Amino acid sequence: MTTYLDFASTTPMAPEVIEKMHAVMKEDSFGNPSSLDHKFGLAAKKIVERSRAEVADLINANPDEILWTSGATESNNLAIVGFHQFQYKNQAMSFLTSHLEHKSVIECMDLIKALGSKVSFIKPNDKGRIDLETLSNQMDEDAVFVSCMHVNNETGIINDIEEIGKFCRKNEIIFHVDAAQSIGKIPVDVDDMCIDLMSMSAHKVYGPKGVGALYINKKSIGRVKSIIVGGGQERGMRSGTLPTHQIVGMATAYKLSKQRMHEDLEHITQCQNSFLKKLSNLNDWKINGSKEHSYPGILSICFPDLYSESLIYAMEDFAISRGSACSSDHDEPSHVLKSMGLVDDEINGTIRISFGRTTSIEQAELAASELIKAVLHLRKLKGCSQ
Amino acid sequence: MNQKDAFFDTKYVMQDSNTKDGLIEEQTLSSNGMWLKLFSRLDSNGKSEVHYNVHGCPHLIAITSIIIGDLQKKTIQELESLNINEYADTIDLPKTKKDRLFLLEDALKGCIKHLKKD
Repeated sequence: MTTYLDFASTTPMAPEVIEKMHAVMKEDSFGNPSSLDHKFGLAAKKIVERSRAEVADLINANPDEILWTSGATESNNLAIVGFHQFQYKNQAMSFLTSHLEHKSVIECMDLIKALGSKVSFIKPNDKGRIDLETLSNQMDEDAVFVSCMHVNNETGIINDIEEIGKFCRKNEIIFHVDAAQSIGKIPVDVDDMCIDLMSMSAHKVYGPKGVGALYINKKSIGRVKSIIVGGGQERGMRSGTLPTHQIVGMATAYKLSKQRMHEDLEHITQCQNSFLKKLSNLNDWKINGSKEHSYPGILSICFPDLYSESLIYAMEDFAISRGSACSSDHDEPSHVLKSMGLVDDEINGTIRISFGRTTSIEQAELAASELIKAVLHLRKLKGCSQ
Repeated sequence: MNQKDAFFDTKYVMQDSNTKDGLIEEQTLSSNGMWLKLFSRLDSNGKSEVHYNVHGCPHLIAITSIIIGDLQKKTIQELESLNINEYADTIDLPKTKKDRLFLLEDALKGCIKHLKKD
């Protein structure tokens, strides 16, 4: 049986989520939440709004600041392209983001750059974090928008969102956060962190795929233009029939994550510690980034003398990955690791192991033992004496 | 031998490349950092003995293991008649990884050249 250790890529749906979604699909709430002329639509609408409140509750937002989307990628597109479309009136605008970001942020930035705006990419420090000093040094007087991810999907590094948020608020700059990897795993408070726009996903925290949300704070609602037009749903901000069953799935997953956050975090930290303790018997490897400022559920481990594809192949009973799920089917090296200053051999020898709620300590230890075996096998093939 | 078995098989792996014991070394490198070393010699009957070290993707490791197994106890003429390309199907080598065979082909050619000199 294969043990799943790729929770940063996606998570299995929690049984409670499946149960709630199933119930919604079976009951009289199958109606279109926009069809308010009959009980079926009204029932669906009620569920959608209750779910909106549950999602808002996890991040200390108001329910009317939550906009349903198809996932964090769409939320990133809406936040960046939507903001650019609304603001753009031939005047100079400057956007800042980092090399750490998900492709959906980077490619949106490339798009608005092609439309004439200035985009600056901030390099992370050698620990893989964004320094406020670097950010403020690169900021010019036309800066209007900063986008920074909370937890990095490849390394688990946590950026100091509160520090960057306060700086942006002070300088009247719109602050967008891609929180796909942090929501439900570590505390997020949009108020304390001075966040204006925040992208969220359901499937990273035991919810269904195909649903997410964008938090838009009240002051910024009028400053983002819809990029999907048609039915006028979500107050005209995002057209398309709302998927009630997925929305209820996301809300249930978020509610559950709020209840279990402390317990989950403690358990995942134990998994990471057990794994690393076992692995400490092995030579010549390192953790990419810093263990100090990172989410323990994501470990990016580098074996500069080995090929990650072969390591993964050798660990046949474990589902682990080379990097982000979004780039592991491409042969180009990870832009995140590259920006952190890793050389080709270090990038080629990097694997990502991510633990989750359902990982047991025994599985984490076994994974470390199997990884040691795989490393020793590959080093033997290279003719290295141990 | 299937791909998985071949990947884990270490029968002809050169344990310590510093102790060559009369074996001639031939190394080939690819542009993406993969490499292959063959260590070979002929016995008193003119039959081959080949060992290897390899660094690269699972396909390169598996196909090297299979081919090196087939290179044992062969005359130089038999080694020369071996068609490396025919091995592609044995492990369902993806088309994008065809260059792994070139790496093996180059190593084998170099190895035969050395054995002829010997």
